[in-house]
Amino acid sequence: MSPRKKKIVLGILGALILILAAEIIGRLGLAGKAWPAPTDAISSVLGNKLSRALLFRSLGATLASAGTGLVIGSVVGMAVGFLGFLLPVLRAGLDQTASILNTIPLVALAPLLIALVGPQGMSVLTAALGSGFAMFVATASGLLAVSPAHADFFKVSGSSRLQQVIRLSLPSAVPSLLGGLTLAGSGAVLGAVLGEWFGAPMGLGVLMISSMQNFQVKLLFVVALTAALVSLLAFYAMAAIQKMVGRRFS
Amino acid sequence: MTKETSLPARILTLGWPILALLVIWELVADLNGYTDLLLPRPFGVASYVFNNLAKFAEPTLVTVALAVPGTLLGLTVGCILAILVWYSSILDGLITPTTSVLQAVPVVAMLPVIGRLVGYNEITVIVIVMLLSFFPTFVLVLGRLRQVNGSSEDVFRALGAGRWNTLLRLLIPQAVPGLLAAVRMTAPFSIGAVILAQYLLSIGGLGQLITDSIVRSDTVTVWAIACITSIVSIIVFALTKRLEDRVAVHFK
Repeated sequence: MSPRKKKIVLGILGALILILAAEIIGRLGLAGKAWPAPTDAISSVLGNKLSRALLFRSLGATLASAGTGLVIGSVVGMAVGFLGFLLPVLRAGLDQTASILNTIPLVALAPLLIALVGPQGMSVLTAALGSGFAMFVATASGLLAVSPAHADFFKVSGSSRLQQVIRLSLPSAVPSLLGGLTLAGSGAVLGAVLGEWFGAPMGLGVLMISSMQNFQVKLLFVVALTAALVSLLAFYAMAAIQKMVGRRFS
Repeated sequence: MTKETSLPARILTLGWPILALLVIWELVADLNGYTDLLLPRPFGVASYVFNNLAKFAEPTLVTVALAVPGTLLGLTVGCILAILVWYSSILDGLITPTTSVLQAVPVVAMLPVIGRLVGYNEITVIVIVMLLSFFPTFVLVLGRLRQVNGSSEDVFRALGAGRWNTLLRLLIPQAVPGLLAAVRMTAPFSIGAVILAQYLLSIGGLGQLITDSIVRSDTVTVWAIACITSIVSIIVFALTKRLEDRVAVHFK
């Protein structure tokens, strides 16, 4: 067997062992009532018309807020990053504040954010915060990632500052922006789910809390699985875009 | 930044957005004529904290203390697994792909599941924090263990060092910066995760104080907690960053 093939086989085997272990623990009840067998949980939730509709409606709501938040967060993050690039006086302060804001836990700001946008707007806002930081960092570092040779060439050719920004800095920032987007995508999903814990009317986060409180372990399990899958998909979809587009710019 | 710049100038260049936030906060409250019940002013919040230190000190300590065991566990398990995976190519094949996929799962969002599974108690918090710090530790430490450094490894091989000897004397010291980076990346967020868990499951600490204060419409306390948490996270971030900067140099 070639090493590459061996790697793939082992990888699949590892994932299977994990899934099988989860199934056996559930079937034998080794972890108590709160750990359902995955196959049982999935079939019973998807098999029931009501719970299936509920799951998909919640998924739609979460995707909508994550998407809106991603767009808002990306635009604001890139705008602030660009501002720091245009006005270098502000850069040190912006960098510092962005990394500080990023370490402040969401829950601490939650009451204030709710006061700002109301519980309905929370998931969009937290999704925007989750993705905005990644995009800010990507923009700020990407715009500076100009190759010195190119910069010299632009200077020697007598280009204006505007031309330099549009034709050199912006294209040079694309790979970094795409890298930021892979983080921003899953960050937005996480942000949306967490934001929904603070009184949103519906969404995966709401369903998670209500099924936790009502001891609907199968539903809870499936909702958590859905949230994890969505966040994985967001990550890998962005990574695929990065690979496709990035090749042209690297 | 040169050393000649004066302190006020440094504070201004680095901290202008924070000063701006404080001014906006004050202005919003003043211009709209908000009462303290709706939007307490910065000075009011600060003096409230100083006058009620006991009220905030205990929950803050509880929250910070709860972040420690989980973080340590996550770091330990991450390191051990990274070493095992480095040592055995079969384990590597079995564990690494799944772990790198699972790494993208939002751990904090799994709080309700862990809470249901483990119970509404501190152990849930420890498990969440452990998971939070486990993944970055595993990935970063493994990355450093695998980093090729031809000449040093050649020396070890030429002198007839065994695998464990190479690991102990060459690769583990080489992995220390990876571990420190993991600490810096996860420690500030583990504080947030603890508060979130305490909020959601109502199990004491700053998290429960938030819930209780919202119920009582105690806006000043809510704002005070927001400020305290922010400051604590920033301190943790600064300390871990400094630790990384100071110690990592010796291992590079």
